[in-house]
Amino acid sequence: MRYILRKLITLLVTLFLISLLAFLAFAIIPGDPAVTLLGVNATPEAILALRQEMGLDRPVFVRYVEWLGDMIFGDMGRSFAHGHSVRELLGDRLIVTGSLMGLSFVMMLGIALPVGLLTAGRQRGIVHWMVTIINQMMMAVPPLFLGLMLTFVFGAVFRVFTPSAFVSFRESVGGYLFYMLFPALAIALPKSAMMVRLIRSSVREEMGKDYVRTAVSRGCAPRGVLYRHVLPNIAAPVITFSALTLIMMITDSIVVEQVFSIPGAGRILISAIGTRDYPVVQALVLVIAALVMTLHALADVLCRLVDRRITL
Amino acid sequence: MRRRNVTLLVGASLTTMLLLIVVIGQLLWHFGPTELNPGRLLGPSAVHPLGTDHLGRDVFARVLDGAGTTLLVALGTVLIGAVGGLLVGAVTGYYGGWLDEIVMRISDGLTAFPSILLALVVVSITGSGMGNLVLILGVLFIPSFARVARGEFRRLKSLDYVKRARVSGASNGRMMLVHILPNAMPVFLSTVAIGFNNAVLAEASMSFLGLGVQQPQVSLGRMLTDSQAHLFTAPWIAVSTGVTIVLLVFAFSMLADGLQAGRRG
Repeated sequence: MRYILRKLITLLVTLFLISLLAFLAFAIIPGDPAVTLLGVNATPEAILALRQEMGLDRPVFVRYVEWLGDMIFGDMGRSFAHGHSVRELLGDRLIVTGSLMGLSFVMMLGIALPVGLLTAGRQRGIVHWMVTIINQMMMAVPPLFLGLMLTFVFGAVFRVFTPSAFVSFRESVGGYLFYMLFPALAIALPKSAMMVRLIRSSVREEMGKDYVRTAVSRGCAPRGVLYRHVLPNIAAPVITFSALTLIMMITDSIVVEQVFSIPGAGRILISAIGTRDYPVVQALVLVIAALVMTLHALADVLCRLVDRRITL
Repeated sequence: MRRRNVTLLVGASLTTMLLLIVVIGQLLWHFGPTELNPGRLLGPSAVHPLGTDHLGRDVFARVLDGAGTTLLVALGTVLIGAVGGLLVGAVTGYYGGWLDEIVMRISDGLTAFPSILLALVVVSITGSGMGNLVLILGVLFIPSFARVARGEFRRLKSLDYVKRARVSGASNGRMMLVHILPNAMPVFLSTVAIGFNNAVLAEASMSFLGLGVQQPQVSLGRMLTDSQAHLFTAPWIAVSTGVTIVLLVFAFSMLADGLQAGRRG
């Protein structure tokens, strides 16, 4: 319990530091948001008025405290480019990206766990080589290219789905999930190859240890040893890897959203970066940072719960 | 008997082959990457082995050019990352102390985030372009190299042969350069290969998103963006670009695995 509390405090302190960085970085860069918004031909009076309205005339520190306070209560400010509140702008998009990541993650586990566990006992022979070769190839395929290929194969050759005809989950949940199947697959496949590789190499390493030899020489069936003794011991690295993968899936979904024209958080991040729409970028940085830090912390806690050898 | 390291063999020969094709191919291939040919969106043929694009440019020539740019970005990134990482890792690993503590905390914080994500945020402040991309990715790659270098320097400095050198009066600089560095190299090299792997992927993603290499220049990532518009009419553009990325990543990761396996013996 004390451990979890300590973790939580570190998490909050880190997030606070990140928020400070995210705010200051965008506050000190050259270029006046008011000028960007009104264009270079705007009259000085108009710019001055807008600066006042946006609160840009006050000290950075005051603005930071205000911004952070608003953020904590869910008010993410106003987008420069769209004029909407950032929260309105991000709401549905965060759900889209979140569900894309979730779907990819479930898919990855659905592929990697069966394949990894069923082939873990076979560390030589034909199965071993087949799995190793397919894995090595699959790992080298970036989701962005896999996405293009899936679009071509399932969108143009087999015509299973209509590319770039995104269905919002507000219209039809089934249609939405069906459309998301393909981008999720593009993210999940390379990651499941990595996970299969991790499971197999962890099992191989663990199988060479003394306790396994003891168990086998006492007469336990090798298969039983694998499932009862070895697998619980490789749970910790697999959990850590899962958390890292989920974090890497953030970048993957940004890219894949672009491939499948999915209106998610990644797309708005890219367009906000392009138009220098800082309130949107800042808000997303904070949301992503919170997600990343939480996942790291969660993985640590889970590992300690699953693997008793790691002391609390 | 020593078992042959198949992975290293495959990785090293594939990497060498690809590098040679990219460098020599650009010099010898009879079409230029920006040369406009009469046939647009032609399929693969004897004249154009990978077809042509929407402006009639030879795709093979463009892939060579793009792969060259991508490899150049990767080289720059890894150079900055590896040299910076080696310096930081050597100093913190060798001397330890509070400096080590601070630097490692910062690098922990940085490595918590995927480097492409950090690069996206930094690009939103600095603007895109090839030079910026190399600089940003290079700096973001420093922590991962520093971590490995630090580990090796820490491990090696407490070994007997290094202690003996200290007793014989070797200076700190000499110990680091002559006694520790050469022995840290094998481990560091496999990290360099992984770095190339990650850099190629990062370049492809960033340029694909339009935040890396910019228009007149071609890179593999940029080509994938352009190929998307003609995916259904000319899939060979996307396929040849993508397969090139896959081959490069595959070669570098095999090389890294091989170097790592060779270390374990």
